[in-house]
Amino acid sequence: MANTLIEIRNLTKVYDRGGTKVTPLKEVSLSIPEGEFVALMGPSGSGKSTLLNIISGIDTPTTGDVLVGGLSIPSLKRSEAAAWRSRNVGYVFQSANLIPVLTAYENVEIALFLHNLSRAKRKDRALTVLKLVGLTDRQDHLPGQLSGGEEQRVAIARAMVADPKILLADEPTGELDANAAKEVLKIFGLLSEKFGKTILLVTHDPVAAERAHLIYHLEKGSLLPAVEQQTPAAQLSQASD
Amino acid sequence: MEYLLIRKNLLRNRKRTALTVVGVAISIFLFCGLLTIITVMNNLLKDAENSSVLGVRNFYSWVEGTIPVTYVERVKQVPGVQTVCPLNFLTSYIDVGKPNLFGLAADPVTVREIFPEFKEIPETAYQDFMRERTGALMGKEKMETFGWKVGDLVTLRGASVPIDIPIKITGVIPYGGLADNFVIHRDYFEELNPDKGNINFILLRVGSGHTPAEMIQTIDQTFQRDAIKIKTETVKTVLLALIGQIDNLQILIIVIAAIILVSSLLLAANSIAMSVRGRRRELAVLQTIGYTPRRILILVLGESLVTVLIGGIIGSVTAYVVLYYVGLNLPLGPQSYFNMPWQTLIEALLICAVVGVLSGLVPALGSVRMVLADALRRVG
Repeated sequence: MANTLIEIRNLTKVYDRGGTKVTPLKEVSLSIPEGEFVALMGPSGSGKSTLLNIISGIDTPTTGDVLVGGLSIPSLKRSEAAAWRSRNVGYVFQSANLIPVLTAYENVEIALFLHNLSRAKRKDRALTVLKLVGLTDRQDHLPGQLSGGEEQRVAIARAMVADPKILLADEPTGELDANAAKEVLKIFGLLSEKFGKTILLVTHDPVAAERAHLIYHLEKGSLLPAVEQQTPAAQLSQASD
Repeated sequence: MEYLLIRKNLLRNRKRTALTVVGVAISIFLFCGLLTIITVMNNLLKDAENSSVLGVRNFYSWVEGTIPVTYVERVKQVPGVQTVCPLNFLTSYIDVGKPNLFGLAADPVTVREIFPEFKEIPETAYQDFMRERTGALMGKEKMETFGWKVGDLVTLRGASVPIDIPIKITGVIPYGGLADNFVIHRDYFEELNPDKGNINFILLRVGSGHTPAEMIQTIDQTFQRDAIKIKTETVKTVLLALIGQIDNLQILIIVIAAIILVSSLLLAANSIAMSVRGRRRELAVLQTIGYTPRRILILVLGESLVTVLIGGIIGSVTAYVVLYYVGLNLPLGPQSYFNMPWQTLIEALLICAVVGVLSGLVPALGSVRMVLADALRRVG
């Protein structure tokens, strides 16, 4: 059994929305081992994105704690959390959220500006991840010249270029057609299987969730017991038997 | 590092960036121009203050009032007076509808010792002026306005005094207070003038070992009991009378310059704020992928700083060049008076740096204080 990388302890989040208290997360506890591919499902407003935001340190819990590699994320200052994310977390949004005036290559490279790397090293790493997502030939294109699926693959490349341990993805296929979504999910599978990344994928889509080893459901802020799935490799091996 | 993003962001909306740069450039151009005007004024006053030249005039009015020409000899006798130059003012015209000419009828020998710029008139030209009874030194400006050249014969038609004065232009006054005017022989003017024996002004130079203040007191006391009262002043006082309350004028100029700077600040701040507001999502994404608040501050402040500095450099360099050429053609003083002081250039650029930072500060702080989860939620 791999070591626990992300440990969520009794996490509760309460928002004040115009005088009304909203509680998207209630006493959520969860342990995610290193290298695990976890899908988090649930209806809109069930607290999935809030959980992801708190794990990455861009939001804070009302009570409870999130430990990543033993480090309490909510206790980090804003700048410390940003620096920590740059080294440890890759974040993929529902929209690609690329910078429209930068080329695909530059959009990937900006994540490397945060690390003390030479220009040659930055180039090498950016081109490597662009190759991994199959976009070497599109590196000089602006986001407006790319399809939705290609944009999302650039966003994955940007998330992965600094080689973080954790990949957080918030509905990454939510705006894509079936084919583009398949391409994107294939990359997540590859990152999990081949590169051993710890992935937390928030999704509505059961097909997308099928890629994960564990599926959790959030309902009205509470976490339901996990459903364990076989890895694609195990599924293949079972099918051949 | 942040340079790529700053450059790309500035080029994102080229029209907005260009308009902001031009707006700032115009503000800084005006700012530099106004500060240089103050410098020119101070230079003129400093010259006047350092000058040992005093003026004696009718106590009640220095333009319309006259004093008897006999006073000239009496002033000359006052111990400490080195040079005395009697003057008559005259306003004349060449033809109806054409610009008036203002001039002096002065003693050709001593006037040279009073006005330092006359020393730059070539010796041969000045000798011609002294030799020729109808000789006139014409201001550079007027030569250009009327298209005259040295040697031209011109008849001045008196406006203040009803006489025609035929003159021969023998030299050009290059700059200074008389470069828009002319000087003729006072003796010649006296011959033609029906109001004989009166002058408007006596200019005098104070000899070494005597102070202007002491001389003013002595001369005024000398004429204390005379029927026609006189007043002795420094040239600075005359200048003040000409340009009014110069201190108030300087304050007014500084206030206008400050208003221009504030407008420039608001213009740049508005432009940067609009630009940043449109990129709220991007700035949230950058912070999510690990950009620290310090880097975001550098990014936004860098953008506003670069915009304002480009505008500032364009504005101040243009001001420098324009003022240089204005100085070549404006005959108020030596060319160097109009050169924009390098201190003004540095001040302008420092102010641009401050304006650049201040204008970007509010949107920059807003960017690093925004709730990332909210900024990201808004976009889905």
